[in-house]
Amino acid sequence: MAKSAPVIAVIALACLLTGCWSRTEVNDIAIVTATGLDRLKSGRLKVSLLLAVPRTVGNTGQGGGGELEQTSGWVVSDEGETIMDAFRNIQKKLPRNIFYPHNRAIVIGESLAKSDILAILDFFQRSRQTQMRSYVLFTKKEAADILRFKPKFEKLTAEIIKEEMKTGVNVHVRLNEFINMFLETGREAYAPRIEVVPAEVKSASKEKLTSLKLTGMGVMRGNRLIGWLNAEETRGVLWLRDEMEEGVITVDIPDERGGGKISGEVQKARSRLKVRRAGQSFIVDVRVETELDIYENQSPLSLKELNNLTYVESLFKHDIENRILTACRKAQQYETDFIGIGRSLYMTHPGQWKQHRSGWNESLRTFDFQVGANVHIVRVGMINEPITERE
Amino acid sequence: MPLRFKGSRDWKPDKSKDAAAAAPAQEEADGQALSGDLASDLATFKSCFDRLSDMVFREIRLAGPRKAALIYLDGMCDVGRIDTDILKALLQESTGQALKDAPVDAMLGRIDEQIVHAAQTTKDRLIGSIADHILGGKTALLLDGVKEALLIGTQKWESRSIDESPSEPVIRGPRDGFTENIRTNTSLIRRRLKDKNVKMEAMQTGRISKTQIVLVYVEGIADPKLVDEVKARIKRVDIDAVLESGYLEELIEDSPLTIFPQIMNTERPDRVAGLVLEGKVGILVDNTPFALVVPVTMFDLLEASEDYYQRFIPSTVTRWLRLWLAFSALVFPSLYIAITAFHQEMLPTSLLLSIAASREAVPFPAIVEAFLMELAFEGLREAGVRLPRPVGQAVSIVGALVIGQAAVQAGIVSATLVIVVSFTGIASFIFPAYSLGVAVRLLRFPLMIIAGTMGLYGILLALLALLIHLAGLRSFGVPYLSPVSPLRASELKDVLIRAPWWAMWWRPMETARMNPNRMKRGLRPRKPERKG
Amino acid sequence: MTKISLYQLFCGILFFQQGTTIIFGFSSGAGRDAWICTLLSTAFGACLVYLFTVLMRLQDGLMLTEWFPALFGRYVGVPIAWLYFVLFFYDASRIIADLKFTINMIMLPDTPEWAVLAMFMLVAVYMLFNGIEVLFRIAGILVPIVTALYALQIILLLSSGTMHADFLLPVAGEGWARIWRNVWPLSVMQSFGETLLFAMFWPLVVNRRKAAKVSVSVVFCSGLFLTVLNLLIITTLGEGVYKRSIYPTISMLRLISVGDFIENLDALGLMFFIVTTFFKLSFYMFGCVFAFRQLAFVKNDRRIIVPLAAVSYCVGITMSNDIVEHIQSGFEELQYYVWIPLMIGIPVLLLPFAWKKSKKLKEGT
Repeated sequence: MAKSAPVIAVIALACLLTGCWSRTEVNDIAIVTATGLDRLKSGRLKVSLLLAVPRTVGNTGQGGGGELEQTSGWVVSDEGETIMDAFRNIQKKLPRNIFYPHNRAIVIGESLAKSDILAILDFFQRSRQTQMRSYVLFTKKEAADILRFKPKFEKLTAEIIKEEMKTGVNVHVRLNEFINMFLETGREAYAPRIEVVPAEVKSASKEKLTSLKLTGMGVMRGNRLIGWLNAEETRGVLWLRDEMEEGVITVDIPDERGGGKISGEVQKARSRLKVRRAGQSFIVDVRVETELDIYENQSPLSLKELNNLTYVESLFKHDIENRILTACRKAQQYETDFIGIGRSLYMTHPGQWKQHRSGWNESLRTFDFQVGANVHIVRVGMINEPITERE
Repeated sequence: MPLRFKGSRDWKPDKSKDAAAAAPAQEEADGQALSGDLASDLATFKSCFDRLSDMVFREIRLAGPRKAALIYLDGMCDVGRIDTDILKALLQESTGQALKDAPVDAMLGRIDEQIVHAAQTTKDRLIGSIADHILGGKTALLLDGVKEALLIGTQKWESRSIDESPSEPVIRGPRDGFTENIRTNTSLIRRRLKDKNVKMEAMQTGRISKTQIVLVYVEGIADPKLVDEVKARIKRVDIDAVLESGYLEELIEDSPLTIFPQIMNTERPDRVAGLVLEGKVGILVDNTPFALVVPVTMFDLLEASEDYYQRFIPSTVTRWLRLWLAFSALVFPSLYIAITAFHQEMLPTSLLLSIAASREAVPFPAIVEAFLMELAFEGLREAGVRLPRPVGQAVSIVGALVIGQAAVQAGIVSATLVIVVSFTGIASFIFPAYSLGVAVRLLRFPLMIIAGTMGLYGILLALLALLIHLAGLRSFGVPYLSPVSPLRASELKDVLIRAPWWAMWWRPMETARMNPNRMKRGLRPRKPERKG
Repeated sequence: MTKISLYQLFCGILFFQQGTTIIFGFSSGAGRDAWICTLLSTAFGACLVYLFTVLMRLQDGLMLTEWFPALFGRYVGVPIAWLYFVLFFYDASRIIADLKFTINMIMLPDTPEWAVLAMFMLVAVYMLFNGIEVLFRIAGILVPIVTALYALQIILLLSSGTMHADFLLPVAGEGWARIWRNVWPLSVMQSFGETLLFAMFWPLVVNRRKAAKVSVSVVFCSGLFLTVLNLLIITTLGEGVYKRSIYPTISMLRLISVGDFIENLDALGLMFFIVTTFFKLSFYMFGCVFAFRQLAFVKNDRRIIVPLAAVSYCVGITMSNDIVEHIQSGFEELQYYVWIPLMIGIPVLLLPFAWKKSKKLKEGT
């Protein structure tokens, strides 16, 4: 032990002298927070990176006089044959090393999504710097436009995307889930759609403030994007995929019962999807259990009475069933099984799946969807009688 | 013969002359016995104590013409007691009955038995040992015609009163600390442990200092082999002086080259008493308030005596806090370096951006930055100890302001790093044993270098090497990391937690194998059953 | 005389069996059924280890390399014993090669391989100088810590909500052939078969009769560890990603995110990896040192430590040029031509001889 001590000392010293190989200081890295991918008309890839500028993001607490810039992000983009190639080209424009692990979102423009996505996914799994936790999004415009958005609340667009994903009113897809959708048998991939929308509706204000909004989702067949679902249909998908976390459902009360509207918020939701063989075709059986709280009642119905409550429950039930059915119709219309019907068949009856897997997407049209919802209204808010006119 | 200087390379001590040349006269006289002739004996002593201005020779006459002499060292003796209890008694009694018809040979015995008012007396014949006793503060009474001297215990010297131990303060617990006086120290332990089995064996070491050493152990609990080993190791020590127990510590420890202390030093008598009861051996050294305790494990060094006085739940939490902070004191700065310079992906984005923003203007790499700050902190700490108290305060404040505030504002270091350094600074004072704290504080620096070269990988490997080192260390044969490794699961209740007293039946096996039973079982208090 | 307690033996074997598998994934070829695969190989592994312990009991107090000369005489036994020395040496070097690819890939991209490995080797050499007892001792310290972190990892994964239990379905949907293909020989041999190395250390254990029991029970324990790990990985990553991943544990840990603050716990995975790999390497190196000491009649261990470490460092660093070649040679050639004959073939052959001899000894007394 005593003899080895000098040896260790010498080698430790040698380590010191040889310097710091992998060292990169925090102020030598350009932190990527979101990535945009587009395909150019020439067929090349365009990669846009949203970089965080620490000087404006972090509050250093001193030199307070300096005015805060509008945004803390900075979009840099370049084109290349592959993503790596484009990165190299972007790097040439930057004084700092591109640092990718903090990437939060990958926005894929329609131009690229409609051509071929599979090819680009390899990079995101292979590179040591990539983050499988980032969210994947589609946009109808150019992806770079989304990144260029000037945020108001958060300092970075990536943070907005992350926070909006977390609210759970739309589907959210992380990169590893996205890749799995491709790799798993019996389901097609989808990802939420994000767009820049005006912040105010029908406003007279001249200043046009914008906001980022998740406006539904894009569904794929194979490696190509083939269609969009709007926000309503997307919520149907959420029910189908058992990913419903929260959401508001509004139902119309027919005129014979007084008219008006009632809004309820989903508290708990569980759904189960079963596939049953029926001759040459299949029956898809969807069962939904949900608990709602009523938060707004514009109708004269008094929720004090049990039979009224049951009636409202049945209205909600129809609404949910319709939403789910619309989503199913969309799947039939686009002929793509983004719901994962094939996968649930595979999970329960791998043998049957193997027989029917070829031409599965096309045969979706022949499927019969049986949707049954079970709705419980648990709470009716702070009041039970609606506010009505004096009699 | 060429002239040789002490510092020159080929200088070697001339062993044959070394000791003899130092005190030629004394060496000759040491082996001799007293001659019985007072005049010649006095002459011998006078030459022996040549140029000792603090030596007093007092010649008196008693019982007629019989001459006598007292020799003592001024400043080491209680002169008032010599006046009243020896001189006055002798001179008064010389006319009395006791000495009247005593034969010459019995005279000294009579004086001892009937005249001198002193608790501690011995007789000695050899000039060398008499001289040693005189130097140790006893008063020698020489009687003409008697070949023996009476040594009277009159030692008294100025010493500090018992004070609170400044290096190990407690909130709850006894406030007395050891002093420089070994007698006071033994009494402090004896007051706590009154059993006859608590042995206090005296030894002496140091050719010039002749330092008294007392081994404290409990017979029947401490392993006799351990006691013998301690004795053997102390006997092996042959050094001119032991001025502090630190000398002894370095001379008797197991692995001299490690940074970790394998012997505990403490100022607290309750600490020593507690450890001695676990079968350990306390070593008290004269002239220092720091007693040594062997063998110790790292967990002993991480425990404060107060842990045993406070209630057991807070004590347990304190222990965990201490472990955690001790670990942070070791790795926190190097983690900062590794993460900011190598593994930025491990930080949450917002934190990374804050750190990046605060480092934006800093011209140094993280390792240099951290090194500068840590060195500055260590400097401040050291200066704080050395500087006279009022100045020390001022320096600390100025230092903190300059380093903390100004350096950040000037953009030389980042604010994040200042937080890291101050946290580490606080954490490094959590160690109850200062010696272990020093070790950890120093280890921080090599760890920072490794972190700056190899990042987290380097830190992990360095910690692994450190663990190997610790697991291989022994203190007087006891593995340094016991009872965690080798594992004695039942003893973890005094390591990971501080079990309530009624549950700690056993003493630690490693040292108290002979007699592990600490208490009667079933002492756990219960609610009294209501009667009637 | 070094004495190793049963607890320390347990911890030592546990770390050894986790070894590099903790990061490379265990029988990932079986996709979402890897956990079944792990359970099955645990059962077979236990049988195998039981066989080793039976041999150990029959040759009480002898090290693996002493078995052969004792049974077959010097001229046959010693060459076979040397084979085992070479096996241990090769395995030690293979671990170094594993590290060569892994550390650069997941941690230090620009640091030269020689430096990364030299640092590791340095600690290993320090370990060798400190002796086998210390190695077992730190195993005893680290197992509880690593287990606690392992539990923490499970909690974090559960609370970050990235797990999908349905990734496990359908169970054995691709048929059992895929599972069996992965159980034998790869998964049984990898880690469980390698436990034969501990025949070098069993004589040092305080209670050899119980050592046999502990050695078998530890197989179940580490099998459980690996099964849980596999379940975690599959439910987080999904079969598609899992099958393609070279370092599935790291990919899984990167998915942890609790409250947007606890993220990117690669460090945790790396810690598991470095600790277990370190133990595996050290045990192999100790095996080499012990075997060499016994076969070459070297009196002082310390003299051979540095040369052996240096040679295995050089072999490890030059062993394979790329990771594909490295994995290929490990999963195919090594399995059939080296591990199966040496870890199953020879021990099985040995059994009747050892049994006969011990019976003779018993009759003699």
